Amino acid sequence: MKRARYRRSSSGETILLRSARRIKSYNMLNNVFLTLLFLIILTTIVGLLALMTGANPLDVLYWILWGGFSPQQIPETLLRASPILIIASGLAVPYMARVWNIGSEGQLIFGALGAAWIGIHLSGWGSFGILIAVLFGGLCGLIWALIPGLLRVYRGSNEVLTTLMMNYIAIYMASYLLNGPLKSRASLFPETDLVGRDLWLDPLFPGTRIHAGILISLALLPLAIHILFGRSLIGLRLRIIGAGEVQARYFKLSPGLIVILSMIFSGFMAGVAGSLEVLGVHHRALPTISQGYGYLAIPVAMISGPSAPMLLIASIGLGGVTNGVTVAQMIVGIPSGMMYILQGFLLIMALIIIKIRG
Amino acid sequence: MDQGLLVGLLNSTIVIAAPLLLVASIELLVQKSGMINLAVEGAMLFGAFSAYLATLYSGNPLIGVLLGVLSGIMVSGILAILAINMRLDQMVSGLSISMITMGLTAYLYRLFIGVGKPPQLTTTLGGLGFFSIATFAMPLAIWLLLYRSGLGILIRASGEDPERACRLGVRVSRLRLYLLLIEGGFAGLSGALLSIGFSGLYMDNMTAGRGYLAVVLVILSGWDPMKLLPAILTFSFLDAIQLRMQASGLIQIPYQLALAMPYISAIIALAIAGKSLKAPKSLATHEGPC
Repeated sequence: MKRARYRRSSSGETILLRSARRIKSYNMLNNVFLTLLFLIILTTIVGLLALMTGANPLDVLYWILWGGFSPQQIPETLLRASPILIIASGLAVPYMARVWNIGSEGQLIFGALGAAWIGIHLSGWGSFGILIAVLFGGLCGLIWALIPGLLRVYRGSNEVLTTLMMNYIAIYMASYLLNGPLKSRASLFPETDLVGRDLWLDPLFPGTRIHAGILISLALLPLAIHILFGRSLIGLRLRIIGAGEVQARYFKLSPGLIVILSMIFSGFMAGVAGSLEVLGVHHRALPTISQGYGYLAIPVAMISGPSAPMLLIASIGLGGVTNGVTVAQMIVGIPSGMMYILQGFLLIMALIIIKIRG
Repeated sequence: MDQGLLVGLLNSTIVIAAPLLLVASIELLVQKSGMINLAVEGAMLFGAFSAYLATLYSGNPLIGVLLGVLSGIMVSGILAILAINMRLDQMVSGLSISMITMGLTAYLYRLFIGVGKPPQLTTTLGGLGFFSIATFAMPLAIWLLLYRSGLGILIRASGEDPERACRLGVRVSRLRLYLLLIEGGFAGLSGALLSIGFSGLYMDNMTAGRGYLAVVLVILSGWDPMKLLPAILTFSFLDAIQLRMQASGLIQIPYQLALAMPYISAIIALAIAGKSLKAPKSLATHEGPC
């Protein structure tokens, strides 16, 4: 805590020093070590939870590993990793400026609803329709993130609280829309009609559910984020704003616009993830469209930042764990609720890791 | 409007307001000391769950209340370790604790009770009339504590400028820790009220965001205990009216809108009143070096 003693000094030199400390680049080796630590703690928690139910912890761990990373489960893992990756790439941007957008879950749901709604009306438009549906879903997510962004900049409201509330509003609104105006007449369940058949993103490989959106996002997105924000002037500006108000003023940056832009960027990405879930996986909007992806992406974005390898490793790893837990729940019969526990622990781990990095 | 309806409305207003008042007034105290506690949702939920479980197995609601309070304190203690000791982000760590409790209660619920309808408790705390009304005095007590006592000055000082307060001899971290633990106890009690007090039932995720709501109501009251009471009463009264209308089937509002209403109104209120609300200057920051 010695460094913090500089806080009271207001000379230019210390401000620069502090900025430099905050804006140091991400260290690969360090990251790999931290990820391993992450995984070890994760398995311990799962083992303890399994022990409570009386199941054999090794059994549960085996099924989680099998369900996450065995060759025949890899496609499903990638299917879950893709939304996490898309959302986390979006979140990495506001997180660089230390704007903690917690609302990806709501932004994803709202985006998915938008994409499903427009997808129903666009049947017959083909691949152009897919583009419009994805963009419209992104736009819906963007709007959902714009409100907390504006509130933060113009009203000084804390974004953690407002985005959290927006999540609740989105969940209730989805429940209303899926039971009411958007409900399919042909279905007994709260879900929309299927989107137009020509708008479906079909599986690329027979027997899997891997669609083009997954491959494109896995191949291009981390790289794009890395180049656009990891080593660029925009990224530097974001980090300076994240370092604090004093630093931002020192470099003559006004945080307002950049904060809003980074917020809506993350919202857009969450909306896109939601639309891809609709077009590629479920072909309609359901209440369970997001399996906690919005919350799972938060720790990924926190620890990896705008670093392509870290984004990939962390989201595929987490996608595997998510899939593994679902498989283990079915096979071993451990009660549900484990996913929430893991989400919470992952968040705390991510907080600890970014604290260690300083 | 006949008299019976009015009495019913007031009754349900009190039932809705009492748990909120218990939590929100102490949350106000905690926020005045510079902490923001989102784990309060988790503390409430865990309190509700363990109170229900303990009453179910022991048959004595007092043991349930005791266990509820203790488990609330425990949940708050975890936040204290993360946010005060390890200096992690207060809001995100509080949120993750609430998530963990949500998962853990669901997990334990399946273990102990299984799927299906939860057994109705035969022994609940019953009427609670006096106790519920007594909670209405909480904001006044908090006001007296904050503005008419020495301890109040210490609390406000550590929320406004913890470094200077620390230099003048206030043990800021310890003060915040004690306040957090007290809040945990009250949150556990309020959770117990929900599960074994009014209904005698426990459902998954029973608190349904009431803890977050308490935090929001504190912010909307502008960190003023005297405005907290009207804020909570207005909200509870509207909620009671809404529930009554649902039950009578007079006006069909989608129930989801009613559930989302507190959050929507909070967002609108923040948009209107945002800048005029005077937060403690060092809210959600860590105690600096001194």
